[in-house]
Amino acid sequence: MVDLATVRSSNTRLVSTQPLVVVVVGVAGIGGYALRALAATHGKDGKGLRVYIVARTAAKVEALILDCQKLCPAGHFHFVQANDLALLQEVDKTCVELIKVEEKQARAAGDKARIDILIMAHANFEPWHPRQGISAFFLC
Amino acid sequence: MSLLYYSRMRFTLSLLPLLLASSLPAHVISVYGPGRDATLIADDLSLRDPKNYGFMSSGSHAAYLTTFFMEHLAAQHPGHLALTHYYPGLVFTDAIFSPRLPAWFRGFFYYARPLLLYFLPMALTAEECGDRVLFNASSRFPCRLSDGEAMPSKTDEGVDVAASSDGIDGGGAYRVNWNGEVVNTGKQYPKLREEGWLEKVVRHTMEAFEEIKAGRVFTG
Repeated sequence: MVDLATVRSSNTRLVSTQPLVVVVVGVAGIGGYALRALAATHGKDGKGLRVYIVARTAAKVEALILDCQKLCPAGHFHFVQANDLALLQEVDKTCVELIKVEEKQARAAGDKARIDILIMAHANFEPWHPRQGISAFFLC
Repeated sequence: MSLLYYSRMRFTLSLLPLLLASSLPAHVISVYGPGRDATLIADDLSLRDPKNYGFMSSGSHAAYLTTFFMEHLAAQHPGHLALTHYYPGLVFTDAIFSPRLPAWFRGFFYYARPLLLYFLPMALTAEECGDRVLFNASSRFPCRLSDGEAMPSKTDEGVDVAASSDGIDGGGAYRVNWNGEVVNTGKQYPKLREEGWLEKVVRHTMEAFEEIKAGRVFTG
């Protein structure tokens, strides 16, 4: 087992060595916790952070971004809206948009467009499909 | 299945140009369950037959497919790409209190949560979970190096460099447990590798992607 103190000092090293560009897909649960951990670890002393949040619900993401911005005032947090990521065309469309925004942001920052970390935690663990009322538990 | 495997690998491939542009080894982290690989229904990888489809079998196939496809990507991009399939443990996300879940389930976890957090090591708070997800981007899980380069055996924090799922130290494709340890591949793997399952999984996945991209329905 890697103990939590080692995990934290390793994460601190990660954010204090170089600026990071991070994509998080799905933030309702664990993706959101990872993002908060990233913003908190970076805090005010990290080398810079640009984050793209791919998710469905704008209202939830806005609240999350406010929290992250408090933890990490110098970070840039961008919301990329997606609907049904089980559909691969939707994934492609989302990626095209994300790449476009990152190229623009990188240019504005005099930086290279890139992604250093991609975290994916999108899933559907609820037993009923929210729209169709049928079992979606097995559709995850 | 789509959200747990196909969608995630599609994200990885579609964002690959940007991942390869990173000056670090870029890290791809998929949060689900690498240790769920049990049954592999060889003639129905997509689990099309409703008789084959279930919570267990879909998790099992997602774990197998992720393991092999990540190994493929790590080998294709030495020096650039490290990939992790991570099992987060029992994490109390808000999802367990969703009003769409049965009341008995929510009730059970409402009362059991403090006990589980205290007695069960794999029950994590949201905060610890977040930190541990991020740790998958550490140098404990490096990208594969090109031939001839020497892999350090420890990270700057003195933690051992992990073994890739294909048995190479620092091989670039990792199956990781909630506590940062490797989830070993089972006894069935040597035989599966001999039978060419890595290539079969890559072919299956790329065919699915090509069919769907062309606007057709994948039937494989």
